[in-house]
Amino acid sequence: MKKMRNVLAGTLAAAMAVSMTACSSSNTETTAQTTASTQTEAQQTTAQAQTTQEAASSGEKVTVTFWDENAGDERTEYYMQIIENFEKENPDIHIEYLGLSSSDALSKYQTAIAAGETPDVGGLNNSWAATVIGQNHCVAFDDMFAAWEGSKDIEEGYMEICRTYHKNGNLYMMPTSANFITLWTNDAMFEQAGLEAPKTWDEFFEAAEKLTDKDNGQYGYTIRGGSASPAVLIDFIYSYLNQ
Amino acid sequence: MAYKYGKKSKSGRKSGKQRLSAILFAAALLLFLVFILFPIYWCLVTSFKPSAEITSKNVTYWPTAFTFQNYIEAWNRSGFKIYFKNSLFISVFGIVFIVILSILTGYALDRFQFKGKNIFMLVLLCTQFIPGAMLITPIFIIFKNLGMLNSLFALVLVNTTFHFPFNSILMRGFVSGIDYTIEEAAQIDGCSRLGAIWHVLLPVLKPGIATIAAYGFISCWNEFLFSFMFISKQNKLTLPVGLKNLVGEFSINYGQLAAGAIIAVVPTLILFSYVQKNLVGGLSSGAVKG
Repeated sequence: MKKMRNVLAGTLAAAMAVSMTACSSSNTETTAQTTASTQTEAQQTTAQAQTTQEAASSGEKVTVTFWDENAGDERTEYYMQIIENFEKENPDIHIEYLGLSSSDALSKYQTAIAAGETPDVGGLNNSWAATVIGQNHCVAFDDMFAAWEGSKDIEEGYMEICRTYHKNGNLYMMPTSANFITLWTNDAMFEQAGLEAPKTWDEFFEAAEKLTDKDNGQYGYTIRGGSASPAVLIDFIYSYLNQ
Repeated sequence: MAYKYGKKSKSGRKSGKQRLSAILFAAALLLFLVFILFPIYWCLVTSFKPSAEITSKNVTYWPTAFTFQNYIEAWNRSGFKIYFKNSLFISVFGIVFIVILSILTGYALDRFQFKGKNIFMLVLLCTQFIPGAMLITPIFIIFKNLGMLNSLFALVLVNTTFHFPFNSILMRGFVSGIDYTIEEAAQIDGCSRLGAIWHVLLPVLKPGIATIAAYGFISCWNEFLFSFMFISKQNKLTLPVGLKNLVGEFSINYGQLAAGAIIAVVPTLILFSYVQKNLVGGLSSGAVKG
């Protein structure tokens, strides 16, 4: 009985130790969420993609699996529209869409990579880039990009940002969307003070000072609050420094 | 009128002190009930509001513009029609397998004596300690090699495997509460052992079966992790995954989320209202042995 108790204690301890490591790793995955300002698409060259290429050239209908890493009701509908237009233009390709919620998409991708069942095309959030590139799950495609005729249509600045994600400056991702920071002006207040909407940063500071009237609780400029407010401020700082 | 404190009067009415404590007790319970039920009420009310009213600054406790739009959109546009069907398939087949396996295993664990029985029970309990997240990749690879990915039957298998050990041990408790003599009598009258189980044991075991079916259904219905990892086709997803997909990175469609949650809760409510009378009896009878 004593021997069995020891064996039992050993088994339980081993099970608990392994389960603790499993729990800690899954926690860090779910907390690695930062607000990303650009979203990128990583091309994964797998044997599957090659076979779809061969099938496409022989004229039969091929199915391409596509994973969307940030599905929501509006975004899914948007993608379905794009897919419909694409399938009309290319009748021998059928795209199979799968929407993933942004909070769990990374763990699904990593499970799929570990088991070798990745989709043909998938979108990734660039906040995961360090993880996914660091684990050697991506291939650099500098040559492919240089040989592509659409490469000159993309703003060079975006591609430079993409190159900064790897220490050697290799290209591991391409942007699919970007956010723009805008400055709104209250036309009624500007007309009242006889000012025009500012076109340079000096005009901006002048207008902000002229429109500030602390006694009446009126301020010339207000920054957005919330978790992304430092990002907006940083964008303004960079814009000011680069003028 | 003067009441004698602490003494029930002859007419059976409660004394003042007892009535006061009864009222306080009822008030405390009512408060607790409101605390528990208010989120469900809020979810129900939110599902009937248009999204402008949900996010407006004025909080309304009853929708001023009552609408079914959220339900229609969730059912058709967000695909809840498909997710509901898939979840129902998995849960119904899940409880069929879980109940059958649990009854047979529980019966064996209680009625039979075999070598290594204690070790077997210990190992059965130990398997419950392992978190599912640890086993995703190995099971994924096994299913991939079997060609069972993107199959609802794979999810039925996984759910059954993870939920029936505990239910077997629960069922062992139920079976041990039933005397063996009635089965002996049935076998003397010519039943095989399996026939004795079917004709004699199962009717008496109804509370146990109701308990296991109800909890098994909920476990399969709410299961998120494996449904998310093993299914990669949009038309094979289940309700929990569908609900999660409504929570986007930058915006949440609260109306559809509430409508989806209510859709997901309704079958469970119906099931529990049916098995309720069996359930309360079942929980206590399984606990008492002999």
